[in-house]
Amino acid sequence: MIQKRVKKSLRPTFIRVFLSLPKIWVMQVFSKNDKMVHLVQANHNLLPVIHRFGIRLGFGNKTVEELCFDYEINSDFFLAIVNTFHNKNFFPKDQLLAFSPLLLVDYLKKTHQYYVDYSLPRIEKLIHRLLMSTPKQNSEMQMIEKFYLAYKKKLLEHFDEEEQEVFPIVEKLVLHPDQVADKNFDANFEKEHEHVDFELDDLKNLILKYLVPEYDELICNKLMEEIYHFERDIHDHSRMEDAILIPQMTQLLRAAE
Amino acid sequence: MAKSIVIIHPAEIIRKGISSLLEDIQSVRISCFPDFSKLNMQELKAAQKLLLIVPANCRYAQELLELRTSIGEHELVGVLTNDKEKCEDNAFDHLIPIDVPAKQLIQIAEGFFESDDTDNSGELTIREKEVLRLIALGNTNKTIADTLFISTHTVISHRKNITEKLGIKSIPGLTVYAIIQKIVGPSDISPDQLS
Repeated sequence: MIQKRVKKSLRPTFIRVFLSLPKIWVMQVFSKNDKMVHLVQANHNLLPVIHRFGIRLGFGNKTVEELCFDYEINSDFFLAIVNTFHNKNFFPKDQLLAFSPLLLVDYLKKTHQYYVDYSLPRIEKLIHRLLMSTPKQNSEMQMIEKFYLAYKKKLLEHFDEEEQEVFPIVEKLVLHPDQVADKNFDANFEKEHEHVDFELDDLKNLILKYLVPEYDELICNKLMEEIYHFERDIHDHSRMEDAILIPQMTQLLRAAE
Repeated sequence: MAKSIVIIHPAEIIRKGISSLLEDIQSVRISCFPDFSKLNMQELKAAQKLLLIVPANCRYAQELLELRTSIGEHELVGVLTNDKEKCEDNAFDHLIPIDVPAKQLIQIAEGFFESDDTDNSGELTIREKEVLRLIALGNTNKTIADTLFISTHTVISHRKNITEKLGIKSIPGLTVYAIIQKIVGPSDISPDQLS
């Protein structure tokens, strides 16, 4: 009896160790010769990322390299972005730092656009529909919608600040470094990004832990899927800014001095 | 021994007075000492939670510092015998005048010990709910400390526990939680509290 109990208590640990190891070994890193359709089949969350590069469906059997050539995209940069997005543990920092900051700025602008045009309005709509599905549009639940709207407002302000102040300076530093007047520009968004993370996490917890039990489950499923998808996307986005763009910018500023 | 209150004061009348006020708090052992040299350190170190009630007098600063570094989780209550007494405000979690209302002293002690009782359930204690209410109303740590007669250090520690229990980190998030749980009313909140 005692033996049985010990075995049982040990089992989860073994499974965890066993499962966690192969995960690292089999990390899937896409290469130039992979067919583009294979990327989406492996991870459908990559489709928006591929779209951000301007690549449209109708891949046929073309490889990543062939399609990047057709669309005049730097295939190494494309793969670095796609692989980073696909694998949580994959972050080729040196390789990413070596690309032109212009490529990254262009990609970051497109992700902003995706959030502004699609993710944020979609979450907003679903929260509203979820709220309408609760009895008498529960007044406490309305606070979740208000919380989201305040969060969205702050996020849009943050995007705006980056697009008005940070991205133009990076572009100028690359193209016309002599025209940059303020070389002491201090751009550090790690704190702001942390806040964005916290509040998104809070939104999830408020819904998961404290939603009233009467609601439309299909809307709720969709909403949570959308929030998790957005969370993953923006996390990757912030990581690119904090670990790649800002160091690149600091280096450019130093070189321009 | 899990919970202890240790009263150190040269005046017997104060020791006995405080002791009798706090004797109704459940499962807490109270011991009294006239000065620091008489303390039983083994016993103090063995306590899981310790409420130290001492004279708020600079004279004992050194002894206090030594004591505090060698014991576990504790809060320090300083008793001011008169207005002119010199003391370091920041050294104490609570500073009380000798004519403090009995109710307030009991509240301090209960507040300190009760936070232990429901730690694993994820439920907020009464004190934590009170702190949360004040956060939701837009108060700073300093104002919350002043309102509840506790140190800012203790407020921060309550906030940490609240965040851990609820899984909610941001002030807007905590505010919404407080409204959902009816700890505050939606109309009590200023619109910019969410931004």
